[in-house]
Amino acid sequence: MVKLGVDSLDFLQNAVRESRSIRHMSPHPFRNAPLPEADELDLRSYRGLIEVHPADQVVVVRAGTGIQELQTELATHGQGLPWVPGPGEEENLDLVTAIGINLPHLGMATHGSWREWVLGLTVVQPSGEIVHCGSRAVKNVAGYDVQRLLVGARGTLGIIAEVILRTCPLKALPLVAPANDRQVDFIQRTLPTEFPSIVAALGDSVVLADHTASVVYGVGEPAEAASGWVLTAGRYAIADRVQAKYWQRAKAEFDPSGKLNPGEVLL
Amino acid sequence: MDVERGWLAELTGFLRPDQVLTGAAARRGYDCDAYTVDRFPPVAIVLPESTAEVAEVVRWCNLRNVPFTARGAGTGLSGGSLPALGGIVISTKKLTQILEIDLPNRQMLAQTGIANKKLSDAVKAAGLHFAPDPSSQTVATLGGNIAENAGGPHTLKYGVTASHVVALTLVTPEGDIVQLGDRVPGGPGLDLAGLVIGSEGTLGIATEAWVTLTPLPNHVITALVAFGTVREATESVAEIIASGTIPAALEIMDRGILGALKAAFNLEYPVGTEALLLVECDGDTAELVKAEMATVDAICRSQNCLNLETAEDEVARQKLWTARKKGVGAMGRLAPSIVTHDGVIPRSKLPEMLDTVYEVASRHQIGVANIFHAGDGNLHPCFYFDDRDPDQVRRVVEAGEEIMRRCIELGGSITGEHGIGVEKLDLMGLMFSPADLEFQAQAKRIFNDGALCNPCKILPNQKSCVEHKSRWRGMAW
Repeated sequence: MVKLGVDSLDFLQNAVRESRSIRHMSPHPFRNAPLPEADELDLRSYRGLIEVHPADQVVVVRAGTGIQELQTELATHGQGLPWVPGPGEEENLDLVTAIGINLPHLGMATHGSWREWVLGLTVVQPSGEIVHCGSRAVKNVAGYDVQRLLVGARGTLGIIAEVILRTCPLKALPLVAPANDRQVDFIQRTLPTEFPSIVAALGDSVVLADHTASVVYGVGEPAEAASGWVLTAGRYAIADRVQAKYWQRAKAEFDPSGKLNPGEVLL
Repeated sequence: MDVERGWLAELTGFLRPDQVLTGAAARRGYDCDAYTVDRFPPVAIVLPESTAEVAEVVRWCNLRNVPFTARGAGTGLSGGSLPALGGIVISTKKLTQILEIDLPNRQMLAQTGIANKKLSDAVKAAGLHFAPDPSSQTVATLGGNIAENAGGPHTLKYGVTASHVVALTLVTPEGDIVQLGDRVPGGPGLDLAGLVIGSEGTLGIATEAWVTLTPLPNHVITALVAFGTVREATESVAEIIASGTIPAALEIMDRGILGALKAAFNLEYPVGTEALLLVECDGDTAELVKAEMATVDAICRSQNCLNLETAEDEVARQKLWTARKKGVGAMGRLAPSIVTHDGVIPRSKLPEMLDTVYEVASRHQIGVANIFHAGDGNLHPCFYFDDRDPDQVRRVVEAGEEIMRRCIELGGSITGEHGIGVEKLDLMGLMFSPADLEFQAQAKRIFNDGALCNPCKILPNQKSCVEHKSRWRGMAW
C-alpha cells in the first residue's frame, strides 16, 4: 500500500492509472476503514477555488477543499453553501468525502442535499481518463445526469477531482443553530408522520432530533422504522435488492476491474 | 400491412382491441411530438391501463425485437417521443389515476399519464401544489415531466421536476418492474431515480411516481415592468439575481412577443416598450415579500423602467400574467411556423446573449421573438418563418445552431428544459468530448444496453440510427 498526497490533477490521473487498487482516504466515521492492499489517495492537498461566479451563484472548486475553507472564501463574495454540519461533524470536512456519502446536514429540510447542489463534476476514471459531466448552468438537461449518480456513490464509480456547485446568497442560507460536538453512530430519516415515534423509541440514544427534516442523529442502534433510511458508521451494506442490482451494473460499466474504493460497499 | 396485422393479432392477445391503434390516421397522429420538423410513424400505438400491461408490452417488444417509445401528451419540443425507428408507441393516455394522497406527509402517488395541473388541482383545497409548472401544464403529463426533467416559470425558486419526484415505478427496457428512489429523500446510495429523471424515456418507462407537494405561498406580489430597451430589462435581471433576491418567477418578453399579443389579443403596453419583465415574489409573510419586491422595484427604476405595475389579489395578478401565458400562442399570428429554441447561459451573461440573438437573427434574415425564464438564464428564442420555403428552414437551423454554440462558449448549456431528443443530437459533441459522451453512455447502459427502448435519442452516433439521422437533417435543411 502506498500513500499518495494529491496536489494536481496530473498527479491524480497518473496515480489512478498506475495503481491496481486505490482508495480515497477519509477518516470520516461513515466511511469504511482502509484496506491494507489498496493504495491510499489523500485529496486534501488538492484544494482551492478554481472559479467563483457570485452573480451566477456558481463556484468551481477542487474536491479536496475543506467545506469551511470554501464557506469562508464564498462569504467574501456574499455567497455560501447551505451546508450546516450535524453533531460531531468536522467543520472543515473535505468536499469529496461529503459528496461521496451524500452526507446529511441540518439544512436538509429547506435546502436539500448535495444531489441538488452539485451541478457538474470532473472525474478521474479507473483508466486515468479525465471526464466531465454537468455544466456551470444552474438549469441544464443536456444528456444523462451522471453527476447525480456519483453523489453518494462513495467513490466506487470514479474519483471526483473537481466540483461545480450551486451557491446561495448569504441572506438565503438556512437559519439553523450549530450542532453540538457529540459523535454519532447513525443518522436516520423517516416520513414526518413516523418521526415522533422513532424519536420516542430511541430515547436517550438521540443526540439531536431535527424535527423540520424528520432526521435524528443518534448513538447505538437506529430504531426500527417503516419508512426512510439509515446511514451508519463504517462500510455501507446495501439492503435493497434493486439498489444492489443496479450498483453492480454501474460498477461493471464504470469500474469493471473493481479498482476504485474496494471494500467500501457491501453488495 | 402484414406486419401491422400480425402485431395487432399478437398485441390483442393481452390487450383489448380498443387498446391497440393501427392504421394510417393513428400512425400519422403519433409520428412526432411538438417538434414537428422530424417525423416517423410507428406501426402501432398501445394504450395500457396498468404498470403490468406496460411491462407486458415491453416484454413483447423484446421478444419480437421491436423498438418502443413512451409518449405522454406529445408536448415535448425536441422529438423525445418521436418513434425514431417506428415500432410501437406506448401511450400513457390511460394511466391517469391519482392512487394516494398523503396530506400529513405532503406527498401524492399518481400514475404518470395524468396531466401536471391535475396534480395541483387535486390538493389546492389543502393549500398545496405540485411545483413544476411547464407552460403546457394543462395537458403535459407527469411522465413527460419526469422524462424531460421539466421546469417552468416558478422553478427559479422551487426547482425542476427532479426536486419534486422522490420515488417512481419503472418498467425497465427488459420489461421488469422496479421501484426506484425513496419517499424519504436525501439518503445514502446511488440516486437511480435521479438518473432516470431527465433521461427522456431512454432508461425505461415510469408508470407511477410519488411526488412532493409544496405549500402554496401565503403572500404573493406580481409585478409587470416595462422597459424602453431590452438591455435595461436584462441588466435588471442580472442585478436582481446578484442582489441575492430569488423571486418565485422572473420572466422576460420582448417587442416581438408584444407585437404578437397586439395582433392576436389587442393587448397594449406603454408606448415605447421594448421589453417586459414579469417578476413574482412570494413567501410566508407579507413583510418578507414586500421587502423582496422593494428590492426589485429599486433595481428596475435604477434601470430607467418606463412603468412598473404590481398586483396582490389573484384576479389582478393573473391579468399581469396574461402576456406571459398567451405570448407563445399569439406568435401563430406572425408566421406559419415557429421554432422555439432552448438554451442556457450564466445569468450574468444575459444582456450580452440577447444582443447575440438579435444579431444572429438579423444576419440570417429571420424574425425572432423572445419569451423566456430570464431568472434561470434559460433562453427561448422563437424564430418565426414559413417552413414551406426550404431556404428559410435552412437559415432557421443555422441560426439556431449558432445561438447554441454561443451558449456553450459562455459556459451554459444547449438545453435547460426541452431536452436533447433528436433535435440536438448533433450539438452534444459541442458541449461534451467523446470521452464525456462515453461516460454518459456508461450511465445509460446501467439500465439500457440494448437498442429498443426509445432509440436514437440523447447520445449521437448510436448504432442503427445513422441513416435516420441523415434523414432528419435532410428534412431540416
